[in-house]
Order: sequence, then structure tokens, then C-alpha cells
Amino acid sequence: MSSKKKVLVIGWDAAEWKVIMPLIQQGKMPAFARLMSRGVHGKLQTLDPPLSPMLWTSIATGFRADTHGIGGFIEPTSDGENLRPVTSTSRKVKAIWNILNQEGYKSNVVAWWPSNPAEPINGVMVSNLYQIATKPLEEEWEMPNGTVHPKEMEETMKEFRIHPHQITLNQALPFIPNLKDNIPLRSDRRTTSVIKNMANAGTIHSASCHLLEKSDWDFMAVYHDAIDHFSHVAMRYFPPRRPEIPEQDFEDFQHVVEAAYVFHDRMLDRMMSLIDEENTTVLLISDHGFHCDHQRPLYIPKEPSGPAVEHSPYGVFVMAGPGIKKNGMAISGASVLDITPTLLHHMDLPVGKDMEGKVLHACFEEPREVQFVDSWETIPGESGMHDAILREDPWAAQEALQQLVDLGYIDAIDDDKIQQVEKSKRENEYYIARNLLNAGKYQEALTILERIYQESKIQRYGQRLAFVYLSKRQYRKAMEILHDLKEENKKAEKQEDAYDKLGMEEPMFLEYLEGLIVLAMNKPHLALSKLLKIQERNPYNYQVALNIAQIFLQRKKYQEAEAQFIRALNIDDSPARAHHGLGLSFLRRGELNAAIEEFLIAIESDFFFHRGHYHLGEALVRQGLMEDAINAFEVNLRLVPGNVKAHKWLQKLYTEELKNPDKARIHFDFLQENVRGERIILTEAVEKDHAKILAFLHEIGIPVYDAEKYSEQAKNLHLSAQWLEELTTEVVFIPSHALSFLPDQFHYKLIYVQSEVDFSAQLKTGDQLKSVLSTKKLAHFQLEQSKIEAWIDSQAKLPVLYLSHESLLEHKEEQTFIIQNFLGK
Amino acid sequence: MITLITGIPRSGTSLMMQLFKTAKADIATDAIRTEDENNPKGYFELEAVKGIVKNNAFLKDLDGKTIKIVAPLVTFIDLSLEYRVVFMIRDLDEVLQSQGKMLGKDQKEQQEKFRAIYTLHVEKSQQFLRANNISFIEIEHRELLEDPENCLHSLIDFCLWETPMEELKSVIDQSLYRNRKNA
Repeated sequence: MSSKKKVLVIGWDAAEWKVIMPLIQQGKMPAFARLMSRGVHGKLQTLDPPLSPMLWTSIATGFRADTHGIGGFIEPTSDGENLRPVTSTSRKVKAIWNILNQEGYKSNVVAWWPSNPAEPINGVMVSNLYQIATKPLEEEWEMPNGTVHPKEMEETMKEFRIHPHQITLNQALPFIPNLKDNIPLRSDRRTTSVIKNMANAGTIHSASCHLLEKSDWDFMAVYHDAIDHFSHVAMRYFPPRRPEIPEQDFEDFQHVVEAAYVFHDRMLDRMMSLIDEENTTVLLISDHGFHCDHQRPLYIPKEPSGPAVEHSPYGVFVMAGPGIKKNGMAISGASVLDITPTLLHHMDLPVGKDMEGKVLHACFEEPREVQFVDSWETIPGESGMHDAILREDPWAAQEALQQLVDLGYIDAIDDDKIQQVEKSKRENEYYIARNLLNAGKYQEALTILERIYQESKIQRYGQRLAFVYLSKRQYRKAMEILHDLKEENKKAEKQEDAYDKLGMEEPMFLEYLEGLIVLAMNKPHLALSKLLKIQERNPYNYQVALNIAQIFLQRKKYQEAEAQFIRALNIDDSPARAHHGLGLSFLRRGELNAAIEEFLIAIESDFFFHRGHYHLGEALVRQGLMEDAINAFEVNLRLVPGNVKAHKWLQKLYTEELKNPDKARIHFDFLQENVRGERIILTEAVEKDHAKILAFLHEIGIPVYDAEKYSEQAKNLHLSAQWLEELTTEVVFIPSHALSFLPDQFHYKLIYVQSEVDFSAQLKTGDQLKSVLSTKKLAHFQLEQSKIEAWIDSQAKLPVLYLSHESLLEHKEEQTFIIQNFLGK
Repeated sequence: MITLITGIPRSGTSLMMQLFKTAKADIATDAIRTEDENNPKGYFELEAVKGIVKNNAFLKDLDGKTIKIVAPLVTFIDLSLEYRVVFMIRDLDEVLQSQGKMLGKDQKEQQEKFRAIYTLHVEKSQQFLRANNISFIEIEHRELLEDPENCLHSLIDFCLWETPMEELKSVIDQSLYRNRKNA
């Protein structure tokens, strides 16, 4: 008997947990529930842009689009004049079935997107054009070239196709019950789409079941696009009805989405009955989710791939079978890029070091060390990929064809057609740029965006370009693009305004962008007013709420920050950032239990959200739970090994709490190597006369940083901290609001000039208090004081010298001794 | 039987057409594209070839003739007819340099991309010929200019020419080898 592990991958495009979970609770998806209970499940993070051909290729290869080559939905035909659906020959890297092929596995692949022409693998491949009915039922319905491999299976596979005209009224009633009595509804465009999707899904299912049952296979992958298509047609009618949706439409189509999921559950049930569950690992995944609640967009942008705004960022992930943890355990941190590495590891094969995903260890009952190869791409073997000469970059081929036109060897292509192809090419490049941004490859994305925006002046490209400049801190350029976009917008406004005409939500995107730019330029007061205005018009925008919350948090206005974080969570309760922000606000005002709870939720939502682990560590330290804190900091360092702050905490905790000098040494060594010395900071809650204090320090022989130079630099610490490199033993004044921008690569000593004495002195004389210390001033003082204290709390090792203005000026000799002692002079 | 002269544009296909003309071959050309500084002795092209992707019916009338069809377009021929093929091969850097000159643009930045796609075009065209049992001979452009006798012998054998070697050699005007890469 073969020792190979058997794997079945089922893809449900756009399957959404928020739809599935209530249906499971109502007992309407029993097969899915059973699969979940047998294994592990979690959210599967998508990539940006959430476009299916790119994503399913990332799932099947472990690479992003810039590497795997599938950059969108379409590509030019070989004559360069037209466009066609993207083909399998454009994929530049091996899919998992190619790797398995060369390792001697037998695979079946059904309808994967894109997979036409079918690849010559050891097994059966049925391409993504298989299920599409191109002609009426009464006419001969041929399959396009390359639909089935091997060719001798063509006739067999043809038999499993279901034509939309073969779907009966009774079969359609669970989707649209009103079809029974409403005859005109039967020819409604939406009804036709629903029927077509039913037929397509039925076709794929029939073919899959035949192959599951009748063929010999080690690996099988089946892809269904129907949930995505059903959702694009009818998610807007999914209950509850929103006021914008006409009542009759709601009545007619409100059951479509639920029926689609139930239909898929029945298909799953049948598939499960055809496999040996004890010896087959099943993976059910979706490439992204689908907004199904108040986040459903009210308008679909009239642009290529506009409907993708309906996609949500998390798909589903369920894995069950031999060697996989059982009892419905939840896992976190899975991405579409992780599927191929995880499956290779599960099947005892090495993972390519060049793959961009990781092995999901949390799925396995007995985690094993991952074996690696540099790259599967360079390992020779019968991979079952198309012949190299069939595989080409269709956009480059189109360019070469245009070169032939220019050289006079072929007829000129119609200008309109050229423009159409060029437009599509730019759009594909835009998707690749977004994918690069999503991977943090800003410079590569920037090169593309600058060019395509320059060529086309398309707003979307410009908006994205401005965001990249913003991320790269090129604020002037971001502002220039913003200005450019505003001008373009003004011109467009003179034309008919689609949003106003439809009475729909106006995105106010440019204002939002401007808000973010001024925020990045450290003008939170300006940003706040803009963002609050935007929020009035976009009450359900998660990002806006989150940014407002961050501003309040930065300004230590904890109550307002928390209200906005909660608002963001009401819009979307899953993102780690909002839970983390809420936790941070709790932490800063000493609500330690609440803070810990939020950090734990953030981590559960996204295990790889490293700041969640770090701040959990901080909260646990303050709670006195030192061993747990150490664990949190250790995890943080696994995710960001260079986090100096976590090293500082661990050195302190291993030394002082666990008395483990060996462990402490590791962090000490890191800090010795990476921390560039000590900086001495002077700060005060209310700017009184730090110039005098600096003069005093100078007088007693303490070097101070040139007061003329420092003020602008200290104020702009968030933009650049480079100047701190120049310092050695000088004391530098940093205003309280800028402390949190001090970089981690230094140790610090803090001289904190407190002002309580002043206030307490003033408090003694009631009249003076009224005139000198207004309520506003007192509030300001307390706020600044809290900023300093929050920063002190967040530092692992921070020697602090508390001084008061009064004693500093009145007891010079005593204070001189204290200061010199503190500074080791 | 139709004789096809093919190769990547600017790989010496026009020079080969001149050799065929000298060998008294029946050249299919409408002379619509006349000589210019890039091909001082003419292109020997047939306008209909430009539309071959959509319509290859004109090939039916060309039995016994010699026609130039550049490399990627050769895969669009009517397979119900009989062919023999002379395939010109030239260093792709030289091809790109020559194309750039002809188009009056600097293509340096796109060189890598075009090199890859032209390599693919040559492979694709040759695989097409092999797959359809169409006999072809490869002629290296550089060799034809540097060691014409050797190449011409092969051509004479392949095409069964009776033209004297010296007459054929006189066609090869070394001065035309302008976009030459150092060996």
C-alpha cells in the first residue's frame, strides 16, 4: 500500500464565516459543521487586491502575483487584438499539482481558476471553462479546446455537464420561491444568473464526484466559483433588508445566498461520502469573504473589478484528517499564501524557501520540523506543466506583436483595440502594484504606479500612488498628487455626479487621504477635524473610525479614543488593530485586566500582529505576572526579532525576576550589539523655563545640547531622529508630547522636572489659583503629565530622576550633587 | 510546394530573398514595400502576409513560389498546403539593435523582455514546423556573411539550385552587415 497521504482540497470562492456560522447554528449546514468538528478551522487572510484568479493561483503556488504571473482576469489573445480570460499558460511557477507530479503523485484538478488549457498532469485536469454553457441546449454544446486532460477523458467528462436549461423550476424554488407564481420573474436577469450558477456548480460537482469515485488519485483539488457569483447577484438582498433595497426585490431574492450555501453543503456531504475520511485529509477554503452585513457597499464602483469592493478580507479555512488536530479547534494567522507550504509539509515534502507563505504548524497534532529546498522551480522532473514554449507572458507577447506592426510586418491593429488592450494592461499592472504594496514592496509598486498614473491620469491609480508616497513619508509628493486629484475631481464634478444622482454614500476619499497626510505630518488637530467630518458622511467606515481613535489615543484622550475603537469594532469586530488600540488605551490608563483581554482578542484575531504580543507583555508586567509577560515578549521577538524594547524587557525580567543569567545574557548581548549608547533626556509637564534648567546644568558642568539647534529637531522627532546619533553625553530637552517618538535603539536616562510643587503652591492661595491656574490649564497639565508617565511605564529600563523647579532653583548645591550622582559624574 | 523564408524580423530574411531571386526562384512579392535605407535592396514582401493571422487564403495561389513570412507569423500558415522552409537565425542583440535603428528608438530597457519573447518565437515556430513535418533548414546570419560558401552549399543542397556559387556569393554584400556584435 502506498505511504502517500491523500489530500482533497475544496475551494469555495468567497465563502464567508459570517454567513456560515449562523447557518450552522440553525442546523442548515450539517456537513460543514461535521467537517469543522473533525479538524481545525480559522480565518484565511486574503491578499490585496482580492481578485480570484490571482488569489487561487497564490493558493495553489505559495507565491504572490508578481511572481506567479496571473495578474488579473484577462490577457491579450495571441493576435494581440483582443482580450480573453486569463489562461494557465501565463502561470510562471509550478502549482502544487506540478510539484506532486514530479514526486510521483497522481492528481485530479477540477475547474481551478485559471486552468485552461488543462495541464498534462498524471491524472485528470478539467479546466475552468468546462462548466460554462456557450450555446443553447438544443444546439451542439462543444467544450473549448484544452478543457480536459487527458484527451481520451473528454467524452466521459462531457456527460457530466448540466445546461442551465436543464435546471427545473422545483430545483430553483429554494433560491427564489416567488418563481412559483411570478412568471415575469422567471426571465429577470438575476434569476437567469442564479439558474446559470446552479448549473455551473452542478456540473463541477458531478465531474468531481465521478473522479473522486472512479479514478485513482492521491491529490484532488476542486474549485467552485458559484458562492462568489451567487453573492454578487444577491448578497444585497440578504436579510436584514437595508432601506435602499426595494421591498419587492428583497422579497424575491432574499433567499438566494442562504440557498446557495445550503446547496454547497449538500454537495460537500456527497463528496465526503465518497472518500475514506480516516485516510484522507480534507481542506476547505475560500480566497476571501463577502460582506454580508452593514458593511455591504451601497454602490459598486463603475470600474474594472469594481464588484470586488463587496469582498471581505477573510476567507474560510477548515482542515481535517489524519495528523490534523481534532475537535473543532480554532487556529489563527492563516493566509492564502500558506496553503501550498502547509500541504507540502503535510505530505512529507519540502517547502520551497522562495515561497512566500509559511507552514501552519498549529494544524498538526504532532508538529515536525519543516524540510526546505531552495526552490521547486529549479528542481527538474516531469511536472506536468505545459511545454515551455506554450508558457509566455501574454502582455510581453502583445508588445512584441506591436513591435512587428511598427516594423511593418503585420497589419496595424485598430487603434480602439490597441487602446483597449493597453487599458487592460495598465489595469493588470495596477493589480500587481497593489499586490506588491500588500507585500510591503513599496519601491517596486511605486515604479509601476508613477508610470501608469502618468500615462492615464486614472483617479484610482493616483489615490494609490498618494498612499505609497504617504507610507514612504514623501509628504510633499503625496500632497502634489492630492492636489492633482482634486483638480481632476473638480472637472468631473461639473459632469453628472453619479453618487448624488443615485443618492448614495459619497466616499469622500480625497478628504480622507488629506486627513491621513496631515496626520502623518503631525498635525493631528487638522486631521481630526477632517476625519470627524468624513465620519459624519461615512458612519460605517472602519478605517476612518480607527484613525480617529488613534489620534485620540496619541493625544491621551482615552475616553474619546475608546469610543472610536468601539465604534470601529461595531463596524467590524474582527480586526486586530482595533482590539489592540482599545487595549492600549486601557493599558495607558491602568485598566490592566481590560487591556489584557483586548490584547488577547487581538492576538487571537491575528496571531502575527506583533504589537499585540508586545503590549500584552507590558500589561502583564504591570499586573505582576512576570512569567506570562516573558512569554509574550518572547513571542513578540519571534515575530520581530529586532524589537529592542522587547529585548530590554526580557533582559530585565530574566535578570531581576527569573534570576536566569544565561537567558538574560542573550538579550544583553543583543542590546550591546544593537543599542547605540545612552541618551539623557530632560522633560517637563508644562513648559516653564527649561532654558533656565539647561543653563543651570551647563553651569554645574553637565554638557547640554545646543539649545538653538534642538527646538525644531525635538519638535519634529516623529519625522527624523537621526540627529540623536550626534549626541554623546549631552542632556537634551524633549517636550512631553514627543517622548513616544524617541527611537528604540538607545538606552535613556530621564530627568523629569515636575511641577506639582508649583501648583500646590498656587493651590494654597485661592485667589491666585483662580487667576493663574484656570481649569483648562490644570487639565492641560494633567494631560502632559500623563503622557510622560505613560512613556515611563512603557520603558523596561529607564532610570528616572524626579526634580522640581522649586528645589532646583532654591537648593542648588544639594540638587547639583543629586544630578551629578544620577549621571555618574 | 511553397518555399517560406522566415526568421525574426531583421535576421536576414531579405538577404535570403535576394539569394532566392538570384537562384531564379519565383518570388511572391507585390513590391508595395519598396527599398529603403534599412533594406537598400528591397524587402521582397507580399502585403497579404500582414493579414495572415486573420486570412491565409492567399497561400493557395502561391504553389511553386518563394515567400517571406517572419517567424511568429509562420505558425498561421494553411496546413493543407506543402512547404519547405529556410529559417534565418541571428544573434538577438544584433536583431534588437537593427530593429531599434529601424524604428528610430532606443530599446535598451526592453531588451531583456524582447530577447525572451523572440527566443520563444523562434522555438515556437520551429516546434510548429517539426510538429507538422515541414522540413526546414537553419541558416546562421553571421555564418552566411563570414563563411558564405559553407552556408550556400547547404542551401544549394536543400533547394536543389543550379546557380553557380560565385553568382550567389556576389549577392552577399558584407557592407550590409551593419549591426554587428563583436564576436
